[in-house]
Amino acid sequence: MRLRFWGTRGSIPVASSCQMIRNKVKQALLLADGQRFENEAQVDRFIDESIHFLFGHGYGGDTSCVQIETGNEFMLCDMGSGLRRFGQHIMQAQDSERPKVYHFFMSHMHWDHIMGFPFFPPIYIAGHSIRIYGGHQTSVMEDAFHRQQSNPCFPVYWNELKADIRFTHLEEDRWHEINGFRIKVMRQAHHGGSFGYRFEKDGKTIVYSTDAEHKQENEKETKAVIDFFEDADLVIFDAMYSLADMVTIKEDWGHSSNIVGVDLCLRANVKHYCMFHHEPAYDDEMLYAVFRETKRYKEIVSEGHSLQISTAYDDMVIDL
Amino acid sequence: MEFKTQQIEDVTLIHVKGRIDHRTAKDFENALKPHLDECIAGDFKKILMDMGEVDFMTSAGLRVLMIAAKTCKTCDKEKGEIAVAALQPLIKEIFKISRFDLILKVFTTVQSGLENMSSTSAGAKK
Ligand SMILES: [Zn+2]
Ligand SMILES: [Zn+2]
Repeated sequence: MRLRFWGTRGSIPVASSCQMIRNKVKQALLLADGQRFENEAQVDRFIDESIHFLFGHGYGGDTSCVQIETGNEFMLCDMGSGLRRFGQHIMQAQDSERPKVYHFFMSHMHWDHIMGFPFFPPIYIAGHSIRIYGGHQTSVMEDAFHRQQSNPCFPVYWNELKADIRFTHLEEDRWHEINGFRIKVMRQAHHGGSFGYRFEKDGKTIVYSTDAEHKQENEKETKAVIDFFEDADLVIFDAMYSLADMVTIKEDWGHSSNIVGVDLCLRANVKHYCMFHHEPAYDDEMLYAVFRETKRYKEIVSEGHSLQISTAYDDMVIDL
Repeated sequence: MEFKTQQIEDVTLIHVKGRIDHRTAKDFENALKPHLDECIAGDFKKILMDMGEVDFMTSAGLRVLMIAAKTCKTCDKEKGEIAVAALQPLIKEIFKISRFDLILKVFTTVQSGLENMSSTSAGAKK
């Protein structure tokens, strides 16, 4: 099973500023130090082997969209701006070779999680089937999508879309069978409510849990989250804030912290914790610093328990 | 986790010992509660936490500290105050990683904390 991250940023898409790009080029030139390259392949090798991730790559700035690659129908979590790039990518394949069924699992209807939808080409093509699942009632989901596809938000209206688009409400706390997966849904603390997903297939478990504020003020609630994460191979987790921000000025803003993610994953015996929904105000250097600090925190508190930690970036791939 | 209180002039010095994680966070919260209740009742408090013997702390424990600090601040025109002192190196690192060093006063030693917080210098200097 393979996961592909099309968008990893929280709240609003961001792009590198001219100054940031200039800095990356500058660092690369300094590292090359006058070196001559015979061909492009040599340049690529140099970038891959000698230039730090921060200067040769970076985290990207599209909002939440994660693909679970398996079987022959498409499966994705959320429709942030990363969905636009996913759409571009699949439209490059021959029409006859491309599956026409898409399953979308929605954490919630906030702007940054639905904004990729109008820029997703299959919705404009007859013969495509778009299945949108969520813990919210279908009327709530439909309303958000209809409003986005109406005046004054967007010039192409809902009734002009050509694909077959259907909404399905997934009840909490019971298993659902979709596209060969066993799927469970959990309600999370967030404005208007959000939902986390536990996906199980072929002995592997992935949890997608974004836009959730884990306050740890009530052990019963915390225990329910830990049960939901229990023994997962991978947990994709809203690690937007520092703990200090989360419990002070950004309390009740609906997001968690990098180190709360470590504590919950350690308690739940998770194998791999992936930090997600990055703060838009952070630049690549800051995200990298937070990543290193999070790993250090794990070293201090893990008491010998193993937990792999990564921090998501656009185009990242994880194989399970 | 162990918890011992001492009044030094106008500063309540609390010695904490052991682990503050999800298992002990509730005990920590309950032990702090009487002091915070006095705060809420309008009797503003200066609380210095001697963390010298705290050797393990997670986000669950930090959360309790933050609630205490907030409660202290809201009472009596923000005259209440809470600070920590004598952090062990690893706990100090956790404060930095969680950015708690930016929102809570951290003193290197209990003595420097007392000197700084006490309004009667005589009490602090002994
Ligand atoms: Zn979001
Ligand atoms: Zn949200």
